[in-house]
Amino acid sequence: MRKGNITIRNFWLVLLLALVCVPGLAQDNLKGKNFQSITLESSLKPFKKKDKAYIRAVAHEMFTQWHSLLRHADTVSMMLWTSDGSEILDYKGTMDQPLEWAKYMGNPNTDHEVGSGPESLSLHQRAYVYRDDAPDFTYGDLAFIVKVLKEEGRKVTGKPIKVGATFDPGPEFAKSPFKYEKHPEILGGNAMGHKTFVSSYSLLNGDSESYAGFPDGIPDQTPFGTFFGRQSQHFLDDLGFDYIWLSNGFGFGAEGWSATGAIFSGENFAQEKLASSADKVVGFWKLFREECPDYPIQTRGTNLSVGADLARDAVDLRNIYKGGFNMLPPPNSPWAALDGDFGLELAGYMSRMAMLPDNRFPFRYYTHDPWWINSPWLDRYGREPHDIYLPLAVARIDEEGKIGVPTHLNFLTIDDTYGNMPTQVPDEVMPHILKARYDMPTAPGPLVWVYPFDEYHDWARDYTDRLPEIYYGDWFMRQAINSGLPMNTVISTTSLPGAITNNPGLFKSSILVTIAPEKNSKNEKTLMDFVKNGGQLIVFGPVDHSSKTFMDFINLSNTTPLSGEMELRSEVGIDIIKGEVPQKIRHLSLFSGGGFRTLIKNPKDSFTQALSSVKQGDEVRDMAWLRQDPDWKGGKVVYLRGTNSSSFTGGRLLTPDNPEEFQIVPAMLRQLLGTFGMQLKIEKENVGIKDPVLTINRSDNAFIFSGYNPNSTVKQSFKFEQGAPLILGFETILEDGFSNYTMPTAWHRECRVLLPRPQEWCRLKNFIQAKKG
Amino acid sequence: MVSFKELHSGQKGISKRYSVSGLKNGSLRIYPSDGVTAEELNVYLNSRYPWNTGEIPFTEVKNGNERYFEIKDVSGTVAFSW
Repeated sequence: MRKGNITIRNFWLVLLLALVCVPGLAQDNLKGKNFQSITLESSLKPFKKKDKAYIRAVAHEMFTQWHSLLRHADTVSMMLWTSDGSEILDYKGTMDQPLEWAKYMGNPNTDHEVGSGPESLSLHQRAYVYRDDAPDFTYGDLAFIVKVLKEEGRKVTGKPIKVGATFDPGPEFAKSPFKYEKHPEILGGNAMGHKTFVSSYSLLNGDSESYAGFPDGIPDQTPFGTFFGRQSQHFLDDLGFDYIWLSNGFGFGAEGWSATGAIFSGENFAQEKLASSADKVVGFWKLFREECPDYPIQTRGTNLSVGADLARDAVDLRNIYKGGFNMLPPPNSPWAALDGDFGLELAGYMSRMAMLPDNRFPFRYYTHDPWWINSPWLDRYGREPHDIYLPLAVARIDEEGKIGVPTHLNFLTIDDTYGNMPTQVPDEVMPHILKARYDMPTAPGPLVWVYPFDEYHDWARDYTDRLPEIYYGDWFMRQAINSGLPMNTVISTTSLPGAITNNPGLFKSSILVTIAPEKNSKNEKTLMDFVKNGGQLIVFGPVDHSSKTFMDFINLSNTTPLSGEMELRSEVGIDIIKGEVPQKIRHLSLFSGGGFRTLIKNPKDSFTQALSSVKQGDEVRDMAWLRQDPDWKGGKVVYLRGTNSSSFTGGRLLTPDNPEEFQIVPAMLRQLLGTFGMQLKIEKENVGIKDPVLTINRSDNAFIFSGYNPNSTVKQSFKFEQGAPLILGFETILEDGFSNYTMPTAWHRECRVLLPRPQEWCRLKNFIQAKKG
Repeated sequence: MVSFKELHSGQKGISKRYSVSGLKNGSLRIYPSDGVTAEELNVYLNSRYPWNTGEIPFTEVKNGNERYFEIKDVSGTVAFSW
């Protein structure tokens, strides 16, 4: 008897060990850094029949398609685009309540009834139901779907499955009598027409309907955050959801998609509204959390960036991050898939990760669209992976000097507008995600954006005249990246001193790029010490609030401001462009952080080299120069005043100047890298051809190049301080020390060899001898 | 014309092998994986499988956190592995 017990006990011990160890052995084969979480986003459209076995089979297939990637995650989530979020607002607390769900193609909230009207109406004017036999669902059906997703996902992946609910502020996805008939007073945003988006800080008029959280109706002047929070708490509890996603800029201001907003009209900044508007935004979060305290919040954010959002729409991201709201910061915007503006995507992404609520941040990839009959992987990106490799080349650095890469990965979405899930998409996309992860940044890239996250928030609060400057910096970086600047590493000004202290050699091979520091600030001293100790620095933008010490350091003085068209004189152009290239710029003060008023203070300074200037009539201003004091141990600083070369012309975003008429000044930033020995040259047929977008990240000591070449005739030439980089797998003919390549639309390649020129070798030899001596 | 290609290992203990061809009195700076020491790096000039001949010396350079290995004044094909 006793022996038998031991045998049985040993059997269970062996079984337990097998269960623990065998999966562990299998995991040893996985390559690359795991994501903490991978989220598959989906509408309910794949559930084409309201049959329980069918629903279960579809759920199983959803996870099966992505299984080889889901192995690389600690947790798997399914985020449901059930409706437009009105299912939360309308919820009465009963499972037999009919569910208005997102079964449409196009906008169902227009003057044209769904499925009506002439063929010539667009999807934005009239929606269709996605199939004639689209099922009707109740809230009880939704609860069943949530339950089945967790069960089938667990079976396929062996991992815990979380299911997320979504709230969208706009009219896109399902009919919403709540937003557009019963409570239009909550509409404030104009992203899809006048007053079409819910404002997070609106007040509700009273009504007498019964809701789960308000069984006796909504009291008059109830804050939307209070109502939405309480409804969310009931909805998430009752239907088995684990978190909520706030879509399309919701919770971040009034206008999620536009270059204008509550503060910036396109013509001026209403500074007087900023403090109260920013308080309202944060107030929404507080009100929501009072009613729905514990469910994690994930966010989409805006299409723009921290500085631009703050100056144009009073988005105080710092207060939202620091509010203790248990929220995941916004990922990269998906809009580059639509408009090709990868500069804005990357600049916005980096600005938002410069500081974080904790160490988590997501990357999101646009595979399908379940609403607007497009599947970006197939028909917008052309099955080219540039919007995978470019954003996944991005890294942040924290105050300890440690590299941070995305912890979360989302796919918007796994189903298309017809509710189909072709395996082609996951089968083609997953290898690129994994490859990008293998090649993820492990050290700072050649350029590091020192982002003034805290300064922007401080200046917006403490000054009455700095919103144009706050607005300008991110737009400048957007256009510089669109012009080929390989900017894919970010650290905040606040984290920089700690990172340098903890790891003094961290930025030895990098060029720091930032705006002028505040007078007598810690950042000002950090930047100057960095250069004096051999560091490389570029400062761009106006220098209106720095100390005399800093201005002397870069040899700068200010005089009367200029605005408008100016002649450009420049020594830095290395690009080869056939045909006429304009030699003038347009400096609009409103979009460029004020007037153009910078001069080299002491032109006779032997350590200063003028690089570019502008002339308007008899007035001259200096655009760019290099300063290199021999006492700085090889350190250099380049100053570039710059101008936006973009303006508001009535569209969603700022419109770049016509390159056939004006030079695109942010492109000068790439060409100025030559002063540090890094030359990235472009040769193209005419000035109107878009420049390639480029990232260079360091991974496992390699240089990883990723590119998006909108025009595949453009030739790129590379010469670094260390030599000409050789791209793995290609041949090149070296010319004047450059390696030369003509690349396809999307490319991603490793480099582990650089070829110095003979004269550079002599310099290196001296360096080595000096080191040895 | 210079070419940079990856080669198969074909040798016990070697995980990566690359070649640079088309060199004429050229110099190279090689960036192997993090953690690869000078003892673990092998550099060959105009050699081939089974890599028994042609090993050449190189110099290790450190600059801040950056680290690479240099070979100077070589012609033909350089292969390197670790």
